[in-house]
Amino acid sequence: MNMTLYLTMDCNLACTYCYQSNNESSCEDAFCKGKTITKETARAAVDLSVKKCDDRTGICFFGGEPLLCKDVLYDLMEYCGKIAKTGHKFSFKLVTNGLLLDENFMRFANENKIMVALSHDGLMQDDCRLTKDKKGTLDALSPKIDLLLKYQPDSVVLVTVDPSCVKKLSESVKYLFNKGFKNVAITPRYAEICPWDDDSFSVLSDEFQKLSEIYVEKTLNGDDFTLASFDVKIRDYITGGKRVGKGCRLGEKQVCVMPDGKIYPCQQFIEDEYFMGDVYSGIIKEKLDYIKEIRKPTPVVCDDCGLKERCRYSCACLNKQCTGNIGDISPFQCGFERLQISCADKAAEILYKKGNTKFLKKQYGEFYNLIEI
Amino acid sequence: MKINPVKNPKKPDYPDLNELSKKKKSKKLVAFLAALASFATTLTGCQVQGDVAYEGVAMPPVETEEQLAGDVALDGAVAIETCEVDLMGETAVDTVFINQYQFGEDGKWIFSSVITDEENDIEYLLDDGRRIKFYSGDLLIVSGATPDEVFDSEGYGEYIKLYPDMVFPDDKVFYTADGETILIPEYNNHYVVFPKKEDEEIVTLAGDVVYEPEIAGGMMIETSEE
Repeated sequence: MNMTLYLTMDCNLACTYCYQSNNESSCEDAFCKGKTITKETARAAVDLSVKKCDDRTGICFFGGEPLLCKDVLYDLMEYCGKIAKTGHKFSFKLVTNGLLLDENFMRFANENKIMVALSHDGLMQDDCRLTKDKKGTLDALSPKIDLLLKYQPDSVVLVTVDPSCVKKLSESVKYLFNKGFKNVAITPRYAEICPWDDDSFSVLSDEFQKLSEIYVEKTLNGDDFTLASFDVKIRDYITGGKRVGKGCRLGEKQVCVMPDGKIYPCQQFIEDEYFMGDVYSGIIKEKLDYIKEIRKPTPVVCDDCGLKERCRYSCACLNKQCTGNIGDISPFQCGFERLQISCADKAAEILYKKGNTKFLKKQYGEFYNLIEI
Repeated sequence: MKINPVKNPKKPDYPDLNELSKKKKSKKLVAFLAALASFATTLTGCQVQGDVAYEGVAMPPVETEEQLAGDVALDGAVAIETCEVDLMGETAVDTVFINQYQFGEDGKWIFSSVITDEENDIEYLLDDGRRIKFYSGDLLIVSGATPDEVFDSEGYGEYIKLYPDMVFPDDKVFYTADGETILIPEYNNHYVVFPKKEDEEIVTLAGDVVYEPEIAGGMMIETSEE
């Protein structure tokens, strides 16, 4: 069982695009009921997973800012350590804004094999990721990035791009690579009232063209790196859409546990309709069946699209976030998927034609020799 | 911005795995034979047959016995060749890519595989009803057979024996049925070992494997001796 465990809904930042702080109705309900998880609730979540699944629990610590709850985190890790001695396997991830990272925590993270991912927007950081008194955080985070990468050189940085500062996207990605990150994932700001218009999308397209050049350049340099928008799309093509073909597994692959112990299928679905149970009494089968049922519709308009094996058109969370309906893809999402595929292919074609070893080994893996022979 | 399904998208100018797999058999065969011949030469000094036929084929990183010992990925083993296999047993649901073949010091065959599927949900059902889960990045080890028993008469590296008495050790140190100790480099924290039963007679796998090319080019893989 994989779970996103919300340690707290509190945060030490006030990002302009935060869907949690802007979602008033949710905040009145599940988001803010029991804003911070108790040790007992966190342990109960683990107990539920251990009881429910055969041998493995994956936990992603999330928030709010999860490092505001280090005491709960430390307690839970100790608890998981005891359970692990019985043979149960755990894997841990944590998504943080980075401000509270310190040597002690990073040592703890490494000792306990917690993979730490950083939410950071590069040079766009001061546009959107602000403190509550509206100050930028780029400078404050620079030494934190150094610290993170000192302990976890393969850490992933998660970039959210907002239309208001999209023109800085490629330079931001460059900045993050230059800071030493090897793994960068980009997500545009999604919202039901689409923040993107034709002009900002046009800038986004230009920026992705530049990212395509960066991808080629870094590969030719022999750098070890991943740029998710590119690598995922290339890999999906090479493997024939095997990953996408499995479709959305809302509520099945992982669940979301809120600080009050309530369980939902995903952080985009914190609504009564999608309530699946709680950590004390477990997942309600009828609710899970309902989730499985409602996740089935995929956008009819995509049926004949030749790119669907490389597209996230069936992602219930994205569709819900962008259109309010699981079964509807938004025009922006459709455009963004096509943009990523187009730019990824452009880079891949250049590198393939050049017979670049780094590219071939990275994308074709064990089939590399077949290309070489 | 509008939703714009692309009915006939331009085909990217780089190959997918289907295209590669069409080429794989002939190339894989010569590559493997070359690897095997080179390995045989290394160990016994025997004459490599058909050298010319293998000209231009990438050779394995084995030149001398010293290197064989020095290049170990497993204790006393060396990577030979890469290959691919489809696990298409009764309920096998996904593809496993074999990352490397390896020979043990005693000449016994060791097979290892790294699953590259991105979803952590590959399952394989054994004849005895046990369900085995594979996770992304798993390292699979098959040991206890000799190369002849793993490869069919044509020399393909696709016929894999899954022994029913597989064990799931927690430690990095595994003991095969032959008493051999294998040190496995840590890989994603998950290992599955397929040791041969101590009293089990080795059978020729070519006779056990049902080849069903119409099933996505896959193999039916026998999981017991019956």
